[in-house]
Amino acid sequence: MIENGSGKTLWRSLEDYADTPEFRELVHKEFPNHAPELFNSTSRRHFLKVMGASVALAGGLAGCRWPREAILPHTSRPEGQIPGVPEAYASCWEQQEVAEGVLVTSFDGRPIRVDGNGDHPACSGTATSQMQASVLNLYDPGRSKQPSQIVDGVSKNATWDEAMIKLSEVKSATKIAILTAPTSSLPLDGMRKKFMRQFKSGSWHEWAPLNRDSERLGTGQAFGSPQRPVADLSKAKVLACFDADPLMTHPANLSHSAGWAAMRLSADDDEASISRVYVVESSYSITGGAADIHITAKSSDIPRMVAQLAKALEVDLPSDIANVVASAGVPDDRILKMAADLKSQGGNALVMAGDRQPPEVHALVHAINVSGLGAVGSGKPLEYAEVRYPSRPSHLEDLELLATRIKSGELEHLIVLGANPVYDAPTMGGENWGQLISEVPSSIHLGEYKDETGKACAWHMNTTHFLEQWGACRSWDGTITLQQPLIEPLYAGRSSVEFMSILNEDSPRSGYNITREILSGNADSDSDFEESWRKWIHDGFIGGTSNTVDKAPGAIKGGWGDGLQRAIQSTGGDEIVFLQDHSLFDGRYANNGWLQELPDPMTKVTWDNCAIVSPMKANSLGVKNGDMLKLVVEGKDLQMPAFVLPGQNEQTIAVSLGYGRLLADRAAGRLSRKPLIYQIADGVGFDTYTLRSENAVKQGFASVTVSRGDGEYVLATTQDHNPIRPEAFMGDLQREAELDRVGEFARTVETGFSPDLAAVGQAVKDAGPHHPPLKSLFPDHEYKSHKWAMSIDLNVCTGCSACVIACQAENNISVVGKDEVATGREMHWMRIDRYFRGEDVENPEMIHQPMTCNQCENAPCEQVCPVAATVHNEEGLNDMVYNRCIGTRYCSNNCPYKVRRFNYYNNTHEPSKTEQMGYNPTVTIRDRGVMEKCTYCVQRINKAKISAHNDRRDLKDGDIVPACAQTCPTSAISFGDLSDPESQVAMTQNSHRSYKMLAELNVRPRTSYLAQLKNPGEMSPEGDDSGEKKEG
Amino acid sequence: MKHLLEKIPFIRPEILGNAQSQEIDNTSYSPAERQPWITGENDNTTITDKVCGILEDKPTFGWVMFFLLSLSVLGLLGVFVPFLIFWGVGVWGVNNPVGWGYAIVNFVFWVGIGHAGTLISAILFLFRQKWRTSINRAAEAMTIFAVMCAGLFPGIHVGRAWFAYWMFPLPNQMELWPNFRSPLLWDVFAVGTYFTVSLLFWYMGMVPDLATVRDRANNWIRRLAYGALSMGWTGSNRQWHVYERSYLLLASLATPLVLSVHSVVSFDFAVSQVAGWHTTIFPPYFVAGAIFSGFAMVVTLLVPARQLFGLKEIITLRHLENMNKVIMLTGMLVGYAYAQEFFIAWYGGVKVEKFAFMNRAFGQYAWAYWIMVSCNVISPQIFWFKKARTNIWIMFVVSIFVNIGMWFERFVITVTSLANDYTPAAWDYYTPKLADVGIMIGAFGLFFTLFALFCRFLPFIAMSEVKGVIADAAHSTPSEKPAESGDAESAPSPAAGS
Amino acid sequence: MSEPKTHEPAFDTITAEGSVDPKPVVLIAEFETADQLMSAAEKVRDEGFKRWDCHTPYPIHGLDGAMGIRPTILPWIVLGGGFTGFCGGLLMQGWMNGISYPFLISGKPFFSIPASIPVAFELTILLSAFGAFGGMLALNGLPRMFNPLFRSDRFRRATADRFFISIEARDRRFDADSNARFLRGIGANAIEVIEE
Repeated sequence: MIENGSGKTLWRSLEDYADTPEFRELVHKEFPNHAPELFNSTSRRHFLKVMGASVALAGGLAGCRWPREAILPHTSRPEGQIPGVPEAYASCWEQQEVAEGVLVTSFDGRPIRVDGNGDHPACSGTATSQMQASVLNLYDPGRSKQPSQIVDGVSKNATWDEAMIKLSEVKSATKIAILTAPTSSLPLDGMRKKFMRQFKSGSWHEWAPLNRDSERLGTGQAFGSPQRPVADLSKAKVLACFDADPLMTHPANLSHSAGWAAMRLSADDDEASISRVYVVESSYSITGGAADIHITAKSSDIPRMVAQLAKALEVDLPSDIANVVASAGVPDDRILKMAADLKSQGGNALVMAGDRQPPEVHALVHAINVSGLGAVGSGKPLEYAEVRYPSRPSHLEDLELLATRIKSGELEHLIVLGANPVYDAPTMGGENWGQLISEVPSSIHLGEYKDETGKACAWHMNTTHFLEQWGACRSWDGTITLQQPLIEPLYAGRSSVEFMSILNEDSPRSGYNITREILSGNADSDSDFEESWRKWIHDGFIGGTSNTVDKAPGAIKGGWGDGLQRAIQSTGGDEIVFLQDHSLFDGRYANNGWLQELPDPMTKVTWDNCAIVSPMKANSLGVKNGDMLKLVVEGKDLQMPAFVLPGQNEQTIAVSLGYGRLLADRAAGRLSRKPLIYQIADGVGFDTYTLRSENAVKQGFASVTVSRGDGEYVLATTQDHNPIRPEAFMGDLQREAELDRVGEFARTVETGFSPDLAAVGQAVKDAGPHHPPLKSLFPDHEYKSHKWAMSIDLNVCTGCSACVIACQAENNISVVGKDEVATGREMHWMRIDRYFRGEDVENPEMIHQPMTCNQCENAPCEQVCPVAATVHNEEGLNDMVYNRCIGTRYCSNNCPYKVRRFNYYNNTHEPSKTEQMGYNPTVTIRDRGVMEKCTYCVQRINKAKISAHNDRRDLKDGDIVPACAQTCPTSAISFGDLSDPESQVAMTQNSHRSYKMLAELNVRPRTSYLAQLKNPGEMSPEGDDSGEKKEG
Repeated sequence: MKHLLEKIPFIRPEILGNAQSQEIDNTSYSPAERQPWITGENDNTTITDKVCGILEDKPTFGWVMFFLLSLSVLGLLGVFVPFLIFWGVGVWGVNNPVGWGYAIVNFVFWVGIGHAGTLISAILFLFRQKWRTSINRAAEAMTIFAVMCAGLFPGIHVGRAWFAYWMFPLPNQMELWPNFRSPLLWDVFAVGTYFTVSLLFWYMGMVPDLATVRDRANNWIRRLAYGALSMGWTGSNRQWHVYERSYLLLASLATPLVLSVHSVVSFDFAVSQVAGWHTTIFPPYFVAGAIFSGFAMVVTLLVPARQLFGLKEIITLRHLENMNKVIMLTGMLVGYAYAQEFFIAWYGGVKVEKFAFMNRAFGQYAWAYWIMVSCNVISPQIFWFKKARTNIWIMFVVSIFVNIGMWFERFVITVTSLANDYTPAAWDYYTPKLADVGIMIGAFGLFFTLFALFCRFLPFIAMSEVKGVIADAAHSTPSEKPAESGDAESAPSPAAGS
Repeated sequence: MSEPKTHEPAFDTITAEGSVDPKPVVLIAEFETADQLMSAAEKVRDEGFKRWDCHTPYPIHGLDGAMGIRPTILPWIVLGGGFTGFCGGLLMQGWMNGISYPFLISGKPFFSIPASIPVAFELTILLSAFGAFGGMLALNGLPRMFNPLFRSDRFRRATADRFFISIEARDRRFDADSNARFLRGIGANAIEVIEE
């Protein structure tokens, strides 16, 4: 790949340089323990050399800086870059075959941040925790660094040249099966077509443990062909979710969150209205926490409730379906109210079903949306987009096809691209995938990690991280999103496209060329392809390529009555549901320290997954948090610790997937106050895939027998270390106003639920504590310059925890490991406190409260520090002076919000050369024995001030966006200058919902919270007459 | 009592040196015959011989045992402090809500212990309490050593011990100064001053006795060492005149100091806004507690010491009884403070405070709270009975209980309030680790080692003052009690007394 | 213990070894009891001796009066120390936090009296204590590592259980023989003259 830019040749020569004996000598002298990394990876010192050179080049002959493989900076002129000045490049991040447009911040050529691409039509410019944390995988020392091959039972490292020889031998064969993780990548699709043409007896299979097959099949049943429903929640005044979690685990959760938040925020202006959200689910989800009305039910009971809803709404259905629905039994009040509310909004209402529900339920839900509510069309919440390979079988069937092909014994080569069936696929006919793969004479695995499958295959080859490769994927609405590399592959991996091109093509081409070729069709005309190409890379997407249509794909077809009939049969006994993990997704992020240590939004458990049970269930089993449970599903059993979560359905045990990995060849322990060592994933949590049978995959849930297991287990939670008694809520923590209690809204089809703002404001005031007037002994200090402040809207915070990772990535916050978290020493500057409200322990409301330094004007932490290591600056920031701190920890004791974090050990140690590349150079690394805390991202404040000064202009509102605010999918966090009355933060702080947490202490926090609004309405068959009753 | 002692092998009288001194009950209250403070056939000569004997005779087996034991316990510090400095305070159990653990608990505990000495000396001196003379030297020594133990902790408890000196207002190239609004800085000054003044007070009181030892010295090393220490004291009355005035002034300076020091230590908590710390009752409450624990520690030390060194006639039952009375009184003061906290928490109607105290008594640390109450409030009540007050074994056991109880008081105050404060989501539970316990025990080793050395190398009793007491006794009581003092019979002179 | 030599008229003489032409430096007289010393002291005072002193193992009440010692100025030294401590403390805090390097802390003023009291108080005590101790040493001329009195073995009991009167040779009315007789007369049971 020498053909590419100036920088690259240097890289290569560098590799050569790194292999000369003198250099080895030198290295061994200099860093004895880092020597291996130096050879496997690009050490920082090489790196800087290279960057230095390429930059010099850039400065010298800017014209040559951009070769054919151009990487165009998103925000600034294409020519070169100024050292030390970060550049943002547009690219794309894909998960669940859905692309999200991202902006990657690159420092001197080192990508250090992943944010959302605001210009992208399908993305809101925000990022999930996984998107942001994915940058850490790039620098993960545990990544696979070279091909390896099993020679008589022992795994041996190999070079890519040897790998090429192997591949050429595959080329000559015919009976090849390829198993990939599903992806919307267009180049790979091209390669697939080519492959199917080239290898007549080749077969192409896709497998993902977390897929949306039931929605696919359901829409197929309803409309005759699979569709992708694209929901715009900002148009849904009433939303009903059945086991669905559109705000968190749904692939389009970012745009959903933005839309939902718009509906909630609009409550702040008079004539607009606030939405009402119903959630019916078996396990408390993020969306469930955001719901106005939360109903818990077994997943197997939900189909019947959907049918009852259809009945209550008098949806006209094909006769066979109608019969089944008619037999669904009488709906209860809640369903009737739901129906009434849904109907009342004239199509601005939406029903959603989740992955755990069978296809028939999805079909029925679409029938409701289309013919029951008329929710499709312009100005309506629902659109449909086309899906990839409409005719493809479900992932499970696809995998079964592959299994049978393997068993038939005629297969010569099995090639696994990124998929990891050995870990995450159910056993096929009693045979697990380890055995199946071993039956194939020759198997090749291409992956970022030498994971379970990689170790099972005869060959493993290392692929590229998404920040190292070219590509183009489709986002949820079909928009083509471009992927450009931010850095030369650290370990010379091949992207799956490049890999396939080696198989398919006589002269393998680079991902760059393949991508260009695939996209050539999208240019207006070949003449200006170069131009549009540059625009695409610059923007990160190709405009107008969305393939949604704003009308129903057709009338509702019948023929799935029997399936529905089966679905609405109530089944007795306990059920187990398998959750997509909020941090590790399907397990692919298991080696990511940030995500491992990210507290689960619901349980606040880090470094583990657990069996979530309801309080009642826990009582009947006689277990408390951490006690082992024995789960038996279809004969397979697993012991894992219980976690008691209020709001969990009593007969449902929820376990999340993705833990209990085995990545390392040698078993490596969990990291505990050690520097990151290889394969931190190993030994963390419990492999729940072992319980997930084929049937469970198909159904979405399975029946389980649960009993008390042996012994206890330490769960490292960041809160709820012990039960919190109600009287504990003595301070003024979080406030809420329930609309039907605080006042009335004229409910009409047009305005929906518009709250009475004065009443809301009064309710919020009343929710606060009574305290004497807050007087100071001395006159208050006057802040003459800026007054930085933040406000956090509890009404739209879903608790998704993206901000926590954003903060960690921005501020180089160290990962401390399970033991330390268990001791109570997590380092997150930002945490999300999760409280429950309500009398009903089995189904309480959930409140998420992001907590970070409140930057109090009368900061209690400052006056107690004997060495003045934490002082106020003239802009009202509570500055922490690391190198003055001696570590008395008095400030932390005196902080009523407990947002200060102390380095009990040297948490950074010496990061490996690759890890160092991932740090944000604008933020200091903290040493042992030093206190640290949120700074309102002071480095960003100063950067904005400097650039404003350079442009000879004043700072304007929005110039400064802290990492957490930037990434919040619901823009719950606003930041700005209080001295500017027009600024957003000034206005939110004046909002009728605004209050200061623990204001009674007279610490004068700069951060204010906006009270939560709940819109449950009154429980009565006719939801809408609650209004008139009160008015009359 | 005695035959019980003899059952313990290594303190049998014969190897105890002069343990044959008798236990004489001088605690009767009948006004008819005033009981002397110093019993037995004691005059200036015997007092001098007995007290100096401790330094001059070869060490008793009991002392050697005790010294070696303390020394080995002190070894724990040698192990754990370097361990701590090397790894960081993470080796302790402290965590995010509970930033202060054993280190601060021990600090406050030791500072408290350190109060009895100067208090006995200074306040009792000002109140002309003659009985102080037999115990003040040992008590002051205890103070010095306790404050040394206390001083150990703030130094090692900070995250970067090598920068602990930044707490002092030293000129530096950054031209940075410490923050004088911080109670921790007040601590630095208060404890520093307290240590210095106590040391001066102690040393100055010792000068005449050191001269005595010097003048009895039978080898040049002792002569040189004690000669240097006693600064050429000749017992000149012109010097006595200035000396006594200076001593009086030091005493009257030390008295407010004693009260201020623990008040300032209590500011560490009271000035903060942590629920359960932010309480105005803390200064008096802490001072009472300090006197309480201090006297208990004095009893703990003196009961065996007077046995070992045969000082029963100088440190008499009556001395011990008086101390037990003080212990009972201060114990009840502390109990009152406990009750008052709860009353105010309820009466003040501050939800946070109410919760904090309910949580203390019935929350996750209730066990610690009730240990504290039973040791501090209940156990001293036994001193209502004279039999208990004057029984060596009972008072010894009670004094141990009080020490335990007072340690737990500091634990309860420090930890429970931090573990559950304003933000329930941040709550956590504090569990000490090995290093916490090791360093705590090691500090006791340091304390007892220093005390053992003191017994052996410095005059254990303030001889000059005791002699004064004997003289007064001789004058105040007519000479029909010849047993009283050697001076009495040979001095029938009318000019006697004044 | 040497028995008192009641009948011997003369006095023992202790001469520093190797001193050429020894002259008497000080004369010491030993008394058995405090009361004898007390009465003797009064008589010595009335005789008009100026450079003389009593040596006792413990402070004897009334002896100051008997010797006619004027009250010491020590209290004023202590007061001075205390004053310096208090003002110095306040000034130090005011200058350090208010002038030299002001911090904006918890919205409080850079310097305020309440927060400065504890440190000022402690410094008051500290410097007063130094005054008391240092003053005592200075006024007593201590430490004084050599003293002719140390030549006398008998005198060693002055810190244990005997009482002495010492008359320096520098006193106008010093005369070994007459003083010895005089002291013997008022109850001294042993007399020594120390020469150098």
